[in-house]
Amino acid sequence: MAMKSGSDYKESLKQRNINVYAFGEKIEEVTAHPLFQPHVEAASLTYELAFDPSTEDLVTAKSHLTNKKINRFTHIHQSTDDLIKKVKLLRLIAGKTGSCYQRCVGWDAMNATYSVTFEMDQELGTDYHQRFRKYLEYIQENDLMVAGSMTDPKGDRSLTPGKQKDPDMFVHVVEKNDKGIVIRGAKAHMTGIVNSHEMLVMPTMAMGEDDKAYAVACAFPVDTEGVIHIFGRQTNDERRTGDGGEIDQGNAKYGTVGGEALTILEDVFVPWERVFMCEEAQYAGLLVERFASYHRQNYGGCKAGVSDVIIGATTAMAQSSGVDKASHVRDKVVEMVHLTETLYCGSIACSCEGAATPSGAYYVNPLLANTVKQNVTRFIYEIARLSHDISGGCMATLPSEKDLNHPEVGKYVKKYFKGVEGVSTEDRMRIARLVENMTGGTALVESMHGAGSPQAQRVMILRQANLGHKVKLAKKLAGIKDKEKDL
Amino acid sequence: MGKIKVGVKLCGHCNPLADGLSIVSAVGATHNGLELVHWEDPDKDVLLIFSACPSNCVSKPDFSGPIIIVTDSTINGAKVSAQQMPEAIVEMVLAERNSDS
Repeated sequence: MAMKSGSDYKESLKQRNINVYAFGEKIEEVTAHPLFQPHVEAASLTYELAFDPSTEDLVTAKSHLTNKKINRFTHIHQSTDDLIKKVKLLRLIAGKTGSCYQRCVGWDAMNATYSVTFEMDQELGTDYHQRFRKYLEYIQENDLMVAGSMTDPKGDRSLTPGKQKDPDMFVHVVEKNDKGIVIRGAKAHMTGIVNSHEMLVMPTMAMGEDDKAYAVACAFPVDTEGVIHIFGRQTNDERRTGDGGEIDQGNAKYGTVGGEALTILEDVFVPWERVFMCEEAQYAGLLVERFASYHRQNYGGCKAGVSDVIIGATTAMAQSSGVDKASHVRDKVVEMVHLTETLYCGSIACSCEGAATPSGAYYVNPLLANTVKQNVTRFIYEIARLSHDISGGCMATLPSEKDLNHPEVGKYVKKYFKGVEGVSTEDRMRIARLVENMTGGTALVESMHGAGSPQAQRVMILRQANLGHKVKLAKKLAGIKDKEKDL
Repeated sequence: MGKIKVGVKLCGHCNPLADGLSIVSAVGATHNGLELVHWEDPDKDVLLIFSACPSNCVSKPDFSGPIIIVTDSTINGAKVSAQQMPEAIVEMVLAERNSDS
């Protein structure tokens, strides 16, 4: 099968028998429901742009397994150039959607699993890597969307998996037989999973030998028996499902961030050929570290693209209000650009400083990748704050689209929310709603906790910091002799 | 003499300073002796590679014939203004084609 187009992708979703709940109801067809359609549209763009001559250079790659042209979202990075192109690709699409298109999570999960299973097989004599290569070829050949599934509910965070009162707080193996394994538990914050084809489960953190039942990596279709998805709410999501029109949604086509779900795994059977880690607890931490670093690399790409739109929307708001020439406004826009490009610099840098793993797949510089994501947890909030500052209070107090078009009061909305001549009140409201959509609520929280909460990055930063070298540099300059006792 | 087949490869336009599709379309409109084809077309006479910014990160496919590298402001490394770009590309294609034959 060739690469899927956007419509092929949407059609393929309809072939699933997925078990999704939202607003207390079972959803019959995700692709036909207004709550999910923006997320489907955003993911669809990752397919569609592979056929656009002005984007295909980033959105496609050559498979190292088959030599065929594939969608880059299924590619294993073969060079630092591939890592750089990943960042550029993410910025490109985020600029078009102003939202999350969800497909990078599975991409990162596949890259992490590819390299870690290779190293497991080298040390343990297992055949996980060969299994994974076959699975990867299946994904590439069918151009499937994979939901990377790492985060467990975790229950009492002070307790290890095995010490939890409820053992299902972490996904674990409950049965092994000659055909495969049975797993139970749940995965939280599953981006794009309700409009994916497959899910690739990984452990959520480093595990000790006592917790080996929780060291499990495996893949299966999202509509496998025993899998239930409960869709999460987002800020202003009822603006999508009501009859209020598109203006109030801000970004009616692509929505807000990724569309996350709590995915329940109620005794799910996984055949051995789709199991890539089973009780090898000593490798759980490495898989988490690889996945997390790949995923944190992304944020200076996609968030730069999203911020490009926020900066554009903010500038348009300033223009519509007639304040765009004010020096303080221009300076704040400069600051927004500076913060955006700082994020982008970090993602490009961790890609340029990437290196080959024993499998041949390229891996980012983890120190720089974690630094990027740490910056995202701060800079996006500051970009949003500056956008609110410039855009003005009306982005939070505007009447509805229905009021704008109301036969009696519409004329007042048009009159009193008017800015400069040449910009209609409706257009001013559209931009203000876009700013509102992209800079508040769920969109901000995603920048904080997506790809791991800030402390998770700080742990990795400390581990990679090479502090010993820094101490040596300092001691040398301070005139402390080599044999002196450490300070 | 048939039309010159120009294989076109565009960069991914992640943060573009120019619109490759518009410029390439203008090239086609400037000279009716050129036929613009996809870069993977095996019968292309010339390969035109366009990058929308100076980083020129677009992947360069192997091709034994003439290759013209265009960025937002250069053709084969020489500065060209945006207004002159389509005509300058046509001139370069014709020159490369002639020198190759």
